[in-house]
Amino acid sequence: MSAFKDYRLDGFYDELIDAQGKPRPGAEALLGAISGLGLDELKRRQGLAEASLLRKGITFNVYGHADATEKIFPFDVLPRVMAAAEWAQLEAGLKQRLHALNLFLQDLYNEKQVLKDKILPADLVLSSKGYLPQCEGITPPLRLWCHIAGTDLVRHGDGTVYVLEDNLRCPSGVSYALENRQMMKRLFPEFFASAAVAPVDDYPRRLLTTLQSLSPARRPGVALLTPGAFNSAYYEHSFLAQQMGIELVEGGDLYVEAGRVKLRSTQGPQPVDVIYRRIDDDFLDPLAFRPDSMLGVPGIFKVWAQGGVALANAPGTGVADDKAVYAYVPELIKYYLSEEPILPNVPTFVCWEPAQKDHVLKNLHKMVVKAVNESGGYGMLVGPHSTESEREAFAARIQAHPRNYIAQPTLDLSRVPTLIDGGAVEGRHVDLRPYILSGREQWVTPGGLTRVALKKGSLVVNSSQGGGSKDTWVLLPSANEAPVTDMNSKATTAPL
Amino acid sequence: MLSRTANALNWMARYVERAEAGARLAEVNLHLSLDLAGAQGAAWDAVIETTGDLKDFRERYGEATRETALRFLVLDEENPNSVGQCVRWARENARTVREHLPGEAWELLNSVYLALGTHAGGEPGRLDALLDLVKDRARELEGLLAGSLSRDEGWHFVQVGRFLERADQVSRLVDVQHAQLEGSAADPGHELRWEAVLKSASGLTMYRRRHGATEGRRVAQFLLLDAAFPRSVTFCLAAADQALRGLNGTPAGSFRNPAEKALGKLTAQLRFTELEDVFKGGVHQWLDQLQLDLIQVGDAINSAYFEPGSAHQGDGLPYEQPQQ
Repeated sequence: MSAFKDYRLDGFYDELIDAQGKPRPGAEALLGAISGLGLDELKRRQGLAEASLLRKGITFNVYGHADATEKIFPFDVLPRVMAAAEWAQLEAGLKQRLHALNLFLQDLYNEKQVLKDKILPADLVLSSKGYLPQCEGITPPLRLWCHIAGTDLVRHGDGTVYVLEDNLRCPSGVSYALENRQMMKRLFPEFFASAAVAPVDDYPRRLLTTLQSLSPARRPGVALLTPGAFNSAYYEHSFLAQQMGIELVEGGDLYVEAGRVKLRSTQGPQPVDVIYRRIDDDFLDPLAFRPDSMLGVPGIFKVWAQGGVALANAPGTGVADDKAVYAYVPELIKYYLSEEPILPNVPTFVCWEPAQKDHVLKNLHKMVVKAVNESGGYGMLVGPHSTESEREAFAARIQAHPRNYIAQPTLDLSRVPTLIDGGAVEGRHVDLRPYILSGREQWVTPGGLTRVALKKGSLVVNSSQGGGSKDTWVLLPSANEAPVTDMNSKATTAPL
Repeated sequence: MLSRTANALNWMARYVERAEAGARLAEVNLHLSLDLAGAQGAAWDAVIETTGDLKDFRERYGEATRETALRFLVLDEENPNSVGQCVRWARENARTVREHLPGEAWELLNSVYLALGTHAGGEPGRLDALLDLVKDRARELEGLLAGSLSRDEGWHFVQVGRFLERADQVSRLVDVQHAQLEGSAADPGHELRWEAVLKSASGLTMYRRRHGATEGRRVAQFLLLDAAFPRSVTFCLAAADQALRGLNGTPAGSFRNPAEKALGKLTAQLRFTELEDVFKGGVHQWLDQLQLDLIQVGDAINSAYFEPGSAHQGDGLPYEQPQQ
């Protein structure tokens, strides 16, 4: 195993190799294929992958540089593998969780029975920045609020997979999961002969079906609303619109007239029935929310409230992915579904509760502290990697605004073999973001986006903080008994 | 189709065409300057003036040499008409309408953009390779779109942009040499210069087959009025006219909005023009008027299709009746 000659587990859970140094079930053939290629060939293909990403324009801008210095989102060529049985469990857990969260949102903005029954503190929920009083009394189509979720999962050193956070507003990254698979099929066709991997390409079709199911029209007009070409996720917006064959629109392309949202087209105004909006609530409608927003559509909120257009996700979902509300999701699952949660939460201390706050302040050096409304790895303190002065600064912030902070024990995120810059294979920490669609039916991407912290020892996987991504392989149930090889794809996928 | 999208497709096509024209112009004149080494200064001035940028050039570079002229025409980031800037804007427009194009289209433009960004300059051989790349990718894109875009609105807006730009570029090429057409200059290299013009329009072979030896008036006739040569002004206007009418299914020879009227009129006028008509009031004046007419056509298309809230067919606003 030349590529793995010096590979060390360092006491962490490795997704491909067990504690005895043996391949995990389903990973044997893949590890053999990687070793067979050797480091030089891996590096060569990594180079091809980077050139291809640059040509496809899967890049982000480095501010303050000429635009020739567009950088690609780092992609690591060694995939992460997940066995069929374990995935089935995670998939069931994710569906259960989103089912409960949608029931919670519908209840919260209407009867508020959950607060009356004191399942979670009313003050905590109603003070969330994501709670929108404008949404009270509204029932969206199919009684669903969150149609596209990107839930972050992590595996701890004990092997258990936890939900780290629910992303219920505008989760991004699914296009990278699809592009990563495309890239792997082109670069490493021989790897796919080693295992039967669940395909991921039907996401755009599933997403389109989900969006269409939100309108009673027989052929609903569907559009994707983007903040514009300068948004860092614009590539994804454009990719998804292209894959679904729908219009990619900016706020200025839409306007409200006679209770409908209309699109300015060369053939005059065209009504739109469903909008997949990738603009935050705050910017969606200057008449309902931030009056200074130039990105949104004036009056669109009222049209939605009256049922003239479906918005995915609905406004107001942010309250349910507030990191303090997160702590209560297992209770919500029991309350709404009378079921035990299939997926555990990471133990979470809500600083809003005085006793829990004291515990957090005493143990800052051992904990990860997060601001409840931040995402992207911002507003975060990783205790074991922090300095004395950083901890003091965070303690002061927690004292001043306890509602805004939660803390969790530091997790030993699992690792996956990764080809590092120096040209060796080493373990790097990962998380996993599957995408859950909720429309007339529920559907979960097989796998999703595996994000990897490329810096040695780092636990922060966000792309803004030195993270990259990997292809995620969910093995098909038959993989162990009868490996399936697709002769067609082998014949047509010579590396680039 | 969104007005914004239609506009971006139209301008993507125009900038690709402009980049290709710029690449041809630079390449042909690079080679010509080697043939006519003695008279190169004056020739570069004329080449730069094809895009009307001589004043800007003089202010920043002074006297034109092969090096400064090529830098200005190909890579200069402050010259909005340089090949590099045209590629950049073609790419930016394509980026905002990726979902309307086959996946490879944006990659083609992006690959040229990246090549320009990493071009080190220096040896003429490398510049030639870069200009070849621009031309090859432009033709590749044209072929890709022809072979894979549905013949709906998007296609028609691409065609309108491409052919209006091509007509514009060809008329500018002839304009640069107008002095010789009217016999005011006795330039010993004038045949080579006319051949350079033909090469810039990718038309030397077709010209030879049609007219044989190089003669200024015949070249002008060929590039401006030849109905069979696909880069002549007459041909390009007819193609743009057909594409624009295709948007509304308007029959030939009639119009349904001011844009169709302006372009239809100009197309018909060109079809009934002879070289004598061009010379009557002076070649330069005739070409100036053509430029003004093309600008007016562009404005009419803009207000008919691209401006938000502008008058469209079918929204109850009156427009001219079709004529027969």
